[in-house]
Amino acid sequence: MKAFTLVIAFIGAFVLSANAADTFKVDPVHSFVLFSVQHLGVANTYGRFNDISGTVVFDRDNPSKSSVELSVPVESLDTHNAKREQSLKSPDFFDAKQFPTLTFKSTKVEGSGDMLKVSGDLTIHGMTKPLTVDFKKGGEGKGVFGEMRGGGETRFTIKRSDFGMNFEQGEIGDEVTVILSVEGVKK
Amino acid sequence: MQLLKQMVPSAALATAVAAVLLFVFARWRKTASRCAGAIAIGTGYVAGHVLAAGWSPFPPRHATHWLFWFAVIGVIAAAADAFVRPKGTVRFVAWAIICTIACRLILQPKFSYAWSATEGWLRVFAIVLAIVVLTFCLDLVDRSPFGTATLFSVATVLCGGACVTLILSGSLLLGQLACVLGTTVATCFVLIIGVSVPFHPSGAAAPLSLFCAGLLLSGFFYAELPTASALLLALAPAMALLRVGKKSHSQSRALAYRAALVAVPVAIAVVLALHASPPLDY
Repeated sequence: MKAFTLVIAFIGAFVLSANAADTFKVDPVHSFVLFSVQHLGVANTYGRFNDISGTVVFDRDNPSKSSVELSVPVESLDTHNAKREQSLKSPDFFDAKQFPTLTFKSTKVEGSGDMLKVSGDLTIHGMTKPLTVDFKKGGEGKGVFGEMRGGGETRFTIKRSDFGMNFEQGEIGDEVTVILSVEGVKK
Repeated sequence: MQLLKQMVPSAALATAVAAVLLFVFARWRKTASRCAGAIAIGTGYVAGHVLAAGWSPFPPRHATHWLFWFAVIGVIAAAADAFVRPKGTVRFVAWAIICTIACRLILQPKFSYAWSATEGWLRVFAIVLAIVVLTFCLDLVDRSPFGTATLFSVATVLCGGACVTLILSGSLLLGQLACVLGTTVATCFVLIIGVSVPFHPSGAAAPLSLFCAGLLLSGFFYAELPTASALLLALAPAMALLRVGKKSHSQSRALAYRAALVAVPVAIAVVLALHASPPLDY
């Protein structure tokens, strides 16, 4: 009887662990946050944030139990022009010294398979707005050191005026396109 | 050219509002002239600020919004001072309290992300001391012979320099707001010189020091205004207290000398900001 109980407990633990959500720590080296915005109605100006951190919890059997928390330091902004970065980090736009971090925290994850709809709160410039994006989940695989990796990508558009960044409307477009490619290491 | 196109509308509106108010006050009772300068500058700045940066919410969400409310507070304080006429000690203490609250509010993000409470309050008290000294300097200038015109000419030089240094420090918006303040003050100066009726719109020293302090604090803590530039701009008005020229010189010549003296540290501040700025190929 004791042995039977032990076997049942072992099988139960195995099943539970197989069904448990996987937690991935965002790898900043292999994750990218890119953005583009129109300049003078002529062409797009591109930029990126060179640092990102966070956690993705993914339950492949029940995606609604998944969650995402991401954090991007504004100081990591990079547009390959020091004067432009100085301007973007100033009170004219991101106001980096007052609002040093951009964050996203999910509130709901829906979908199945590789296409997920992720809803959450996006905070930029000290203002929080709801955001829903279509996230295309990538595959999973082992890294160089045998660690398990997973990730995906999303592209979405926001209006900077929604986050109180209204300076030079007209000269610089209001709509900002963001490409977020996230790769994480399973804990 | 694009920069000028952005700055001209808000500066023009501020100028117009200040000019209209000054003309209105020139015909009022003497009591109103004691705060006419403050009301003209404050209201002109508010109008220009709204056009440049939009209406500021309350409570403000960031430091730039506080600059708008500093203008409102400065006008109210100047009007209260003119009509209540408290004793010197009361004026000093009240102004120190107002400056302390203003500094604490505009530096809130530093308390959130960078400073401990002790460190933060020590810095606030040091800054408040500097603002009170600046107010004292401007007030002394205002009380000197031909003082009102001298005050506005000194403030014009200071605001013009602040405009350029703030733009070089990475913030076109702060530079634009300094330009709004500068054109408002310059308007007051031109009208005082140009209008034949003797009129001394005073009361501007205290609100001017608060506006300038707000701009410099924003530039130093939230943009890339170099420390040396910030200090030189803050100390520049003290140069107007130096005795220059001969007693026989006309008031206009004495005014020109004082403005030139103030321009020296302001020019150095601009050069230092230019040196610290990344290449302007953007």
